[in-house]
Amino acid sequence: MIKKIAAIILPIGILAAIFAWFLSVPYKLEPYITAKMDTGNPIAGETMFWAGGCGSCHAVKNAKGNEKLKLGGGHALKTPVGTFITPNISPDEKTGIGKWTGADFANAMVVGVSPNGSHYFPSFPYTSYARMEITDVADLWAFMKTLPVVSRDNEPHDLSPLFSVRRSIGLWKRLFLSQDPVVEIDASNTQLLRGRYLVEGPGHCAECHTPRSLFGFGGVKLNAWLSGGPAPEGAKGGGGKIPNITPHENAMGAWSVDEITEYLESGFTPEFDSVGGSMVSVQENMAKLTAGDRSAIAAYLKSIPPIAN
Amino acid sequence: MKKIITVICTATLLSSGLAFAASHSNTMDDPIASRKAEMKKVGGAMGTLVKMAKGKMDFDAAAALASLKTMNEVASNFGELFPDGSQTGGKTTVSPKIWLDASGFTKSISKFEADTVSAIANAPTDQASVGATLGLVGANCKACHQTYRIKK
Repeated sequence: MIKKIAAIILPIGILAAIFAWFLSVPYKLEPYITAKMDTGNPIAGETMFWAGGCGSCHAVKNAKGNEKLKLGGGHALKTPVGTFITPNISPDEKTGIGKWTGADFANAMVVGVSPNGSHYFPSFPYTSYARMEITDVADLWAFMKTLPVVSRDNEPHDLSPLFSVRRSIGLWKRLFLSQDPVVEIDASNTQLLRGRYLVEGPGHCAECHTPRSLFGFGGVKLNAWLSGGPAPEGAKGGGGKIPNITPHENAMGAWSVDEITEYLESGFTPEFDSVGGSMVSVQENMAKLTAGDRSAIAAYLKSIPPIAN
Repeated sequence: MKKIITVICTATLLSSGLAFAASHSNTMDDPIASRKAEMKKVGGAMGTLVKMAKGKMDFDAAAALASLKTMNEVASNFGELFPDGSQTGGKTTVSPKIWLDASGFTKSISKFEADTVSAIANAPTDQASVGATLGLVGANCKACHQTYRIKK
């Protein structure tokens, strides 16, 4: 009997493993796409740098001003999967990404694959960066190459063994990595389109402001888009939350477009309370964008479906 | 007549006692409510300065100075409003770091206080200088909230 069951289950298991192996293969961008990577404009790239918030995780903690341009890494990101240590992405040839090609950078940003062909953990928000235009990624790359060199060796992540198999991220990507925009917007509304691009793409707001499926281990829930999520930093001492930023009356309903724009510029709420926690660094990035980009973000946030949560 | 006087005196004593108890409880027994009220004062004062700096309110030297004095008053006592035991309750949004890193927290408040002192000494004289003052004192809000507050 046992032999019979084994005779059925074993081949199924082997087939499933083979299938999973092929499904999880790390794929890279086609060369005709990455060909655009070496013609970027560093000045335009600076906008993408602040929109993308690179310095908030890859510079030293609570960095201000020019310190945010030194991308030596070293932040500990505490998550349910374990602790990730952000890597050095300064142009240092030994410890940073100084030897990368434009194609390497594009593959990291858009499909989450490293130069040696392995998957990145989605703690690096390529799930949002996937929605960026390749020309913007090229501009950002041109800007990144102008940044100061920081010599700092990378440290390994400290992850639960259950989640430390990088290959399995390929299956995760099959389920949760998509370049499609989330909120439908009338194609004639250029302001909302710009806002959507900044929020859903480089700004990667949803990575913290949206709850995740699969008990927090999956991708962001598209049907609960921007309705808030648990704060990793509060998990061990206060149950902090990342706020709901949909226009629901329990969330941002009372805020006008101008008030959201003002908050992104100065950090003050309509009651002149101030931005706090990890949002301080994000707000200071937003303050570097143009006024038009800030109000586009605000207009988009007022236009998305209100969710109570 | 004597009865009436007795009643009035007793009533006065009682009510002043109650008023004292109320004010007393506000600062000592309910630090969470009182620190929230104090922060609201700072918010109001900050609002006056921001509106002036942005030209949404006419520049008024006296009102600007009064706002800075409000902030200074709050800053000078603010550190006392976080006694042990007020870590939770009353929808507080404090971070445990206030107690884990008490010296860092005290330093942040002292910096806020010192900045209000120098802002008062160098009080704004026109719309442009309100902007400079804001840059000095306003930065304290998020510097402290970045580390010592948790949104819930």
